[in-house]
Amino acid sequence: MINLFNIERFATHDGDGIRTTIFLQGCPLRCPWCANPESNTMQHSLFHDSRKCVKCRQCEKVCPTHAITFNEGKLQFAPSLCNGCRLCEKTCKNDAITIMGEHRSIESILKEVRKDKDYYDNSNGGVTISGGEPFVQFDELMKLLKALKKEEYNIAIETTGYCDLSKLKEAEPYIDTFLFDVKQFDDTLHKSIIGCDTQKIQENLKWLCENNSQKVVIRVPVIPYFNFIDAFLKDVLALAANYRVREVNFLPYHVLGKSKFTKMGKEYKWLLQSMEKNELIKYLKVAEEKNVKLKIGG
Amino acid sequence: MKHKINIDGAQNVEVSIPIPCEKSLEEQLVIMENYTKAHRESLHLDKAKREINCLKTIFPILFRTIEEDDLIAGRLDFLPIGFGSVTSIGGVGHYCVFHKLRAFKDRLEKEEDKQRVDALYEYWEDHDVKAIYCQDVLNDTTTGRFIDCDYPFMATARLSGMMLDYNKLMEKGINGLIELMKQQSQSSFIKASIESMDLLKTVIEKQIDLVSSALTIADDTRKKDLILMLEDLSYIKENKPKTFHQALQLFWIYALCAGAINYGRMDVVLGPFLKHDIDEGRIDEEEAYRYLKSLWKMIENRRTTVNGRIIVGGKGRKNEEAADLFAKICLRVCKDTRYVEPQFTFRIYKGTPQYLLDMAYDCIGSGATYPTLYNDEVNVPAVEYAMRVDTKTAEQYVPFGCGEFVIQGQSVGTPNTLLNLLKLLNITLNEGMDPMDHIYKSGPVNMKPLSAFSTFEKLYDQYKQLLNYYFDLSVEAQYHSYEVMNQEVSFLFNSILMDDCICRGKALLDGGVKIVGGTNETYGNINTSDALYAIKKLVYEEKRYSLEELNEAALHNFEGYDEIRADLWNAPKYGNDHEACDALANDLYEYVAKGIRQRGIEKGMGYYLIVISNNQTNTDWGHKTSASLDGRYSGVFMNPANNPQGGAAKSGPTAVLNSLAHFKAKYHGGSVQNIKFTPRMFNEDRLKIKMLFDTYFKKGGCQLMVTVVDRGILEDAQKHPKNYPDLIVRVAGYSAVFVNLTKDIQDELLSRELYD
Repeated sequence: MINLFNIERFATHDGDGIRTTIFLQGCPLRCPWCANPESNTMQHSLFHDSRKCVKCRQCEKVCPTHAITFNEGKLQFAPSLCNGCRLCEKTCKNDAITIMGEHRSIESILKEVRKDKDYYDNSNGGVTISGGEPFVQFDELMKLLKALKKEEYNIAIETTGYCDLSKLKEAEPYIDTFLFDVKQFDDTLHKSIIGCDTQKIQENLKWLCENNSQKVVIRVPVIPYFNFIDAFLKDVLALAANYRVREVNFLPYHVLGKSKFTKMGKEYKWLLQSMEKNELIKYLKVAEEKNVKLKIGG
Repeated sequence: MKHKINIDGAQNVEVSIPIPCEKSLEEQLVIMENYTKAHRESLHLDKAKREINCLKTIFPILFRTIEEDDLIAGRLDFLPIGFGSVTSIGGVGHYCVFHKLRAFKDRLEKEEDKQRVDALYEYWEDHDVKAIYCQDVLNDTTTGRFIDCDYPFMATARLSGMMLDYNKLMEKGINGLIELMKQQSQSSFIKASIESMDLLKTVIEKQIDLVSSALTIADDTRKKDLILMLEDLSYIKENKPKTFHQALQLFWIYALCAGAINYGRMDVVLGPFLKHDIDEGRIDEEEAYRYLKSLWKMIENRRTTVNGRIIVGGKGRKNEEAADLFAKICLRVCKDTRYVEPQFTFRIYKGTPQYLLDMAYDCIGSGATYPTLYNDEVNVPAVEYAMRVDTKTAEQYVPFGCGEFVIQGQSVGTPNTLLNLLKLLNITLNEGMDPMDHIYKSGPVNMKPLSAFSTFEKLYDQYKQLLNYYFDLSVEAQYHSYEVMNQEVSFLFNSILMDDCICRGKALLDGGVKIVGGTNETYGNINTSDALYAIKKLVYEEKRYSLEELNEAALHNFEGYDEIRADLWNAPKYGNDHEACDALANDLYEYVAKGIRQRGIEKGMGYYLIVISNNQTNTDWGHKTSASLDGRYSGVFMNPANNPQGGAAKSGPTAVLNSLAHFKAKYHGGSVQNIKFTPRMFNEDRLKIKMLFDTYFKKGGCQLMVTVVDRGILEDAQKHPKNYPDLIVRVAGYSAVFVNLTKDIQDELLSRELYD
């Protein structure tokens, strides 16, 4: 069984062609702009839409594990108590509750993946494993990779790069594309904002690039006041040129994750104006000069 | 005014607002009186002679002034009384549109004039072709007129979707046609046909007069155009056309006289003239673009809402290069004009040039909703089977109106019957009584109580028995519409350009047309199969509820039955690639499609097929359909065409398209699929969208129509309509300016999934 929170068909931003993306739970990083905060832990999350909630507290009543309580009229959710029975979700008349996260068998995932095989075949697409950080559930990930590869799917993995090199090496033969996040080279800055250092990430990227740089797509979520820095972006392009990686994507900062934070009762701490694509257009020329394929947006 | 039968009411879907008649009210009244007089005085004559006598009272007088940017001549008004084929521009055969005549009366001031109208009203109550038909088939329980949504079944008399053989017109010219007719034995039909061609010449002469008077006030640039129009009108009156402009003019004026509002494969007809002119250096592409833009405007100005089909591309075109050149210019015009009509239609196949396909996607991506895409690789073999014709004939299939197929120049296929499958299911669940109005609507079928359905199959069988009864009613009503129309009229202008009326010496419905087809529009297809699936799962498999409990909840419109409603709504739905659910949808589809098709064969028709198209009847009929066991509330719109109910498709576009591709096209006579994308996705992910469509078509998808609109725009347009005068959306079988739609239709559109 594997913990995941979404399977998205016709995913168009996670690799070549038409793909199905499997979003796994668990992540060692804590990016404040995260678009999928429900993936942070292996536990269930509860999305609570307070605009729809009429505070009838039926959810609290039906929860067999007392994971839901109301404090001063505000819903409180204790993930560690939740058993994922979804009774609260079913009981809510106003669709104010969604429980995120489920345990799925590899076979049930494959069944979902197979439905769009014709579309992958016709578009050079395939399956993308995303997260969270897929390497968190390493044993299950390996099973999933092997099962997918057995059916000859093209596999991409979207990773923070934060995992043991040995694991990366073990998984690498099954993976056709690494959508590899690069957020900062400055260790202190990285640690202070995201909560972990860059050493593993850099080591892993280096190993991948040295072994098979054509599998690597470097993805930079461009975040104002964190890495929307000319020198950094140019460094990324230089590194990409140096290693001759397949492609670089600059992903303009957006606030699509904000509503999820709110629904989880958490504060979205990196709230700024979403970036426009054209703020990054100038790097296309820089990339071209370095013979790097750069795409703005995923 | 007294009321003999219930036919006074809206007869067609009318979203675009018609341009008012140019004539004064008095002039209009006189014309209608003259028409009526001609009809009355010809009552003892043969129907063909009567028809031409009547036509002479409206042609050429109802032709309007040339407008200042028209590049071809021919603008035609229509009145509440007159002659036609379809309800969009008047009515059927000798018609009177009663509610419009009443509205006309209300505009008159003098009492004596009002009395003149009353006299007309009274006369036509007994002579309007549709009224005569309705007298025969309508009843108080099962069968209503189109559009009267209280009934599970609607029947009408009309001759929709006539796509004439304009090639014949081009090859022979008017005199050539007259020559051909003179060679036949001189029956009253042939004689009247010859008179029709003389009348056509008179109409052309009238255009010459109209252009001439426009010439007197024109500046030098405009004069050039008008002189060309003048010369070409004079030429085509006596000769077959030689140039693109002449061909375009002749086609247009003929289509107007025939009351044809779907035009068909114009690339085949006009492409060779266009190419010849360009090769000879007579015109360049820009000049051709101007002419076609003018044609586009003329078609838009006819405001026929669900019609105006111009079709390009596909198999079975003699001169593909010329046809593609025509298609290319049409694509440019379509993108630039952004009109709701013509319904520009693109048939694609393996031989479609990539540049045309790219242009088509650009046009769709610009938000034009056109072209709609038809997949010949699927449709040609499907039509071959469905209509029982050879490949060569099947290649000439054309979708008209909301998506019904006919064979251009060879078949009649008007949808004169419409079934509401969901209403019939609700009737089945209530021992034959419609929960909406508590009227028994099951005819002689033995309807059992719910307790009798110990298995799902027993319930399904009962439903099928009721369907069978309605299938029988349908085929008889369809067939009888032809009998009545044939008894009253010859449809002379239509007959002349339909195989094989002239050579057989017989009018269209008198044994003239090669293929007598017909179509039945089925509604609520998906709600019904979803409801059946929910019943199967919740009652018979999981045994969570009894059938009685579910029905009780529906009878209360789920008020106080929230849990049941939630379970019904959350049961697997078509459009999500759910194997068992899709299989049941397909089973129902095949049962209905085959049942109708077989009845057509047994009746001796060329074909009688269901169409899963849609105009807005899914919404209108939904208002009169009680809560259903797919979780749909009473009065809510039903699913559009064979798409999922709004809000039910939650698994992305591939899942929807997979579900759609299940239905084998060979059992239906046209089926349409809507899909909606944001401009961001459609334009930025164009390559992936193309692959998506391409895969769907390879998997057996027959058709696609695409709306490209931004998230929030439709919602905002509802609130601030003035800001969105040209926001075009695809409703189903037609496109419309969003803000011109009524709120219920807008809501149905909003409920559909938007992919971003």
